[in-house]
Amino acid sequence: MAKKKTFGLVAAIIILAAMAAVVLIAFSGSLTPYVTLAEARQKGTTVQVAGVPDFASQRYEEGTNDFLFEMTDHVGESVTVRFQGAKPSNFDEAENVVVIGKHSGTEFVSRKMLVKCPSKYQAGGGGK
Amino acid sequence: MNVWNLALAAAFIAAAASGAFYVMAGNISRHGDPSALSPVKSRDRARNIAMARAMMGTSFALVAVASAGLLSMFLRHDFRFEYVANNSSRGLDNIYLVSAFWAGQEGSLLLWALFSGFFGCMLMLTAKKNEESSMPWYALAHLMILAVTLRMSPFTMLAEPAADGIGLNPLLMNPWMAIHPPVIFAGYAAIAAPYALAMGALVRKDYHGWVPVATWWNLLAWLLLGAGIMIGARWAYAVLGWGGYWGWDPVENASLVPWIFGGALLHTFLSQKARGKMVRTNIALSVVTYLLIAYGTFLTRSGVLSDFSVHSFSDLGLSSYLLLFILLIGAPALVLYLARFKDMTAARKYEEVYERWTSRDFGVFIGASVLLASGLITLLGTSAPILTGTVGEAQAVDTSFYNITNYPLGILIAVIMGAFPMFRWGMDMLRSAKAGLIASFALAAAVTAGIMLTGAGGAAYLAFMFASLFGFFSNLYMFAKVLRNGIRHVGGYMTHLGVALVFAGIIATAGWAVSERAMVPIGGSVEVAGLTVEASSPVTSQDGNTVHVPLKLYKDGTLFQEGSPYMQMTRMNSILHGPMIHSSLTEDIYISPLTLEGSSSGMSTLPGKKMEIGKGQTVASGGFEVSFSTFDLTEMSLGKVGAGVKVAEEGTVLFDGKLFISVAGTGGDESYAVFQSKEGRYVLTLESINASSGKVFMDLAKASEEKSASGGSFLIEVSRKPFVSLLWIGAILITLGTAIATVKRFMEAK
Repeated sequence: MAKKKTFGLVAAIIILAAMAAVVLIAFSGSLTPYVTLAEARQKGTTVQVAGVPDFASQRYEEGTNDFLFEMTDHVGESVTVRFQGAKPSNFDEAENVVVIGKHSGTEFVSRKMLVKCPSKYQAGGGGK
Repeated sequence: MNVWNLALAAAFIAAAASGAFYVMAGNISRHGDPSALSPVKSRDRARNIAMARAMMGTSFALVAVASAGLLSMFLRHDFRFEYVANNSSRGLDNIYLVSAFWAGQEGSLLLWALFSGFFGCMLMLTAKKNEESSMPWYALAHLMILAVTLRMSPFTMLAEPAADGIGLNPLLMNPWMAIHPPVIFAGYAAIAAPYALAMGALVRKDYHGWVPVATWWNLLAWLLLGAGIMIGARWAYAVLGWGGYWGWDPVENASLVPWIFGGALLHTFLSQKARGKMVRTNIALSVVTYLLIAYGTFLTRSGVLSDFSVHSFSDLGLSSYLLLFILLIGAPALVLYLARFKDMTAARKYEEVYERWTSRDFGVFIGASVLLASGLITLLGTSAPILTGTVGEAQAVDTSFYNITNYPLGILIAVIMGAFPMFRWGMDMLRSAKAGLIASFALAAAVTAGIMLTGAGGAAYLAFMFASLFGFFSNLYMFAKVLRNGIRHVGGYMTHLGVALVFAGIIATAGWAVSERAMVPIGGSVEVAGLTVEASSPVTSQDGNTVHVPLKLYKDGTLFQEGSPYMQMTRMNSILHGPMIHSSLTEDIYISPLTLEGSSSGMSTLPGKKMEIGKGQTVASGGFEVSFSTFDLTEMSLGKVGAGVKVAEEGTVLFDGKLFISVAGTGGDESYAVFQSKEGRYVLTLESINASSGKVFMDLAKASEEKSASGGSFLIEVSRKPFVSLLWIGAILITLGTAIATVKRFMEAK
C-alpha cells in the first residue's frame, strides 16, 4: 500500500512538473518582444517591430486585399509589411508604426498594427 | 465637499461602525452559541448586533441616496456636475441617460458600492450563526470599495456649469452595454460574501457551518459574474465589428479568472457538503477568488497595463488604494489561515480518499484542479507585463498563448464534466454508469463523424468537438434522469449542458468559420464567400460622425438581407466599425465594414481658416466669433485633453461644447464639431493644444455638400460563422442552470 502511494505521489509530481514546463515554454514563446527587422527574420516568431512607413508605397493588393507598405526600422533596414486588415484611419499621419507579426519569406506579415501619431498636446503650466 | 460626497463619506463611516459593532458582538459571544450566554451578556450582544445591522443598513441607504442623486442629475441634465457633463447630453434617449450612470470610471465604482451595500444587508440577514464572525470582513471589503469611490467621486462640480454635455460614448449606446456593467458589478459585490464567510469560519474555528450559506452565495456571484461576462461577449460580437466575441484582453480576463476560480469552488463546496472533505481548499478558494477580484481591479484600473489593453484605464492615483485593498484582504487571511491550518480537518475520517476514482469525489478533485490550472494560466498571461517588467522591458503575451494552453484543459474539462456526473459520492458506480457513458460516447462519435462528412477538418478541432459532444450527451442523459425528481435538481446538469454548447460554438467558429476580405465598388457588386454583395452610395449622418453604407446580400441570385454597416467616429477619436449580421441557427453571416477607399467618404471640406486662440479670448473669422474658454483636463487619465469652445454668428450661438484630442497621439483624426450656419454647414476642427502658452489651434472650414455618388469602393470582411448560435444558447443555459442551483442551495441553507 505504501509503495502504491509513493508511486502515485511521484507520478503526480512528474505530471505537474511537465505541465508547468509546457506552460512556461508556451509563455516565453508567446511574449512579443520589440526587435529589429534583422532579429525578427532570425527569430521567426511573433514579435513587434517599430518603424517608419514609406507612405508612397502603400497599396491594397488585388485579390487578397491585404494592405501593403514598405517600412524602415530604426537601424535602417527596410521590408514590405503585409498587413492583413484595413489601413488604420490615422495611418497617413503616423510618425511611426509598430507592427506585430512574423517575418515570412520576404515580407513581414502582421495582423495588428499600432500607429503613433505626433502628439497634438503640449503639456505645461496651462490648464487647471 | 458637497452634500453627495458627504453622503458617501457618511456611508463609509457607517460601514466602519457596523464592522466595529460586529467585532464587539463577537467579543461578547466569543463566537460561541449565543443562547449559552448569561442574560446580561446576551442583551449586550443583541444590542451590538442591532447597532451593527442598523449601521450597515444606513451605509447602504446612503449609497442608494447618492446613486439616486446621480441618476436624477442625469435625467435632469444637471451639467454642473463634471461626470454628468462628460457622459451625457440633452439629446440622449432616456434609457441611455440611465446607463450613462455607469459609462465612466466614477459612476461604475459607485454602482459597485451600491451593490456592495445591498449584498452587505442581504448577507447579514442570511448569514445566521456566521453573522458576527463574517460581517466585519464584509464591512472591510465594503469599506475598500467606498474608499475608492470617494477617491474617484462622480460628484465633482465644474467651476461653471456646461451648457450641454459631451454625450455618451457611442460604443455604449447599445442595450447589451446598458446592462453589462450592473451585472458584472453585482457579481463583484456578491463574491465578497463567500470571502467574508470563510474569514468568519477561521475566526469561529467552525470550518463546516459556513458552507451551506457560502455555497448559495458563491452560486449567486457566479451566476451574476458569468451572465455579465457573456453579455459582454455578446456586446463585443454585435457592436465592435471585429467578428469575435472574446479578445483575451486584460479587462476581460480580470473577470474571467475569478469566474473560473468561483466555478472550481462551486464543486469543492459540494464535496464538503456531501462528504465533509476539502475543508482547507474551500476556505483558501473563497479568499483567493475575492483576492482575484481585487487584483483584477488593480490590473485594469491602476494604469499598470495602460500600454497593453485597449480599454484599461490610465493611472488615476488609485494604485496605492488598490494595493492597500489587496493587502488588507490578503494579509489577515494568510495569517489566520496558517494559524488554523492544522485545526482545519475533514468532518469524517476517510481512508483511501481517492482510491475509488469512479466517484464524484475524484471528479470534483480532478475537475477543480483542471479549472484552477486554466485560471492560473490565464492569470499568468494577463500578468505578463508586470512579471516581465520586473526583470526587463514589460511585454505582453500574444493572445495565442491563451488559446494554446487552454485548449488541452478545455478538452479535459469537457471529458471530466461528461464522465463524473454519472457517478455518485464515495461509491464505485462504474457498473451502473456504464450504459450511460457508452451511449454518450457513441452519440458523440456519431455526431463527430457526421461533422467530418460535411468536410469540416482539423484533428484538433474535431477532438475538442468530440469531447464537448460527450459532455453534452452525458449531461443530457443525467438531466432527463434527474428531471423526474423535480426541476430544482437539474441546475448543475443544465449548466454543464450550457458549457458543452458554448465549447461547441467556440470550436465551430474558431475552426470552421470562413472569412474573406473584399472590395465592393460603390454602386456595384462583388462575389465573396459564396455570396453576392452589392453596395450603394454611403450616407453620412447629420453630425458628420457616422457613415452608413447600404448593402444588399444575395445568395444564389435571391436577395436575403439588407443592412447598413457603419463606421463612426467615437469620442476617443477611434473608429467604431458597426457590423451587419445575418443570424440563423446554423450560421451567422457577419460583415465588418473596414474602410471606404478612394471616395470622399464622410465629410469633405473646402480649404479652411487656421486660427490660434488664447485662453478666454474670442477671435472673429469669416463672420463667426470663435471663443476658447478653458482647457478640460478631466479626461487626461483617458489620454484626452479638451478645450471648451463656442462659435457664434451675429450673436447666435451655433456651437457650445468641448472638443477633445488625444494626448499620446495614438488617437487618429482631429476632433471636430459640425454646425449649421446661414450659409451652410461648417466644420470646426481642434488641431492642437499648447498648454504652456495656453493656446489652442483650430481650423474652421465650410463643408462641401457634394455626396460621393459614385467612385470609390468599400472594403469589407465577410465571415460565415457556423453555429455561433450554440454559444448564445449555451450562455442562456448556463445562466438558467446556475439560477436553479442557486435557488436549490438557498432553500437547503434555510
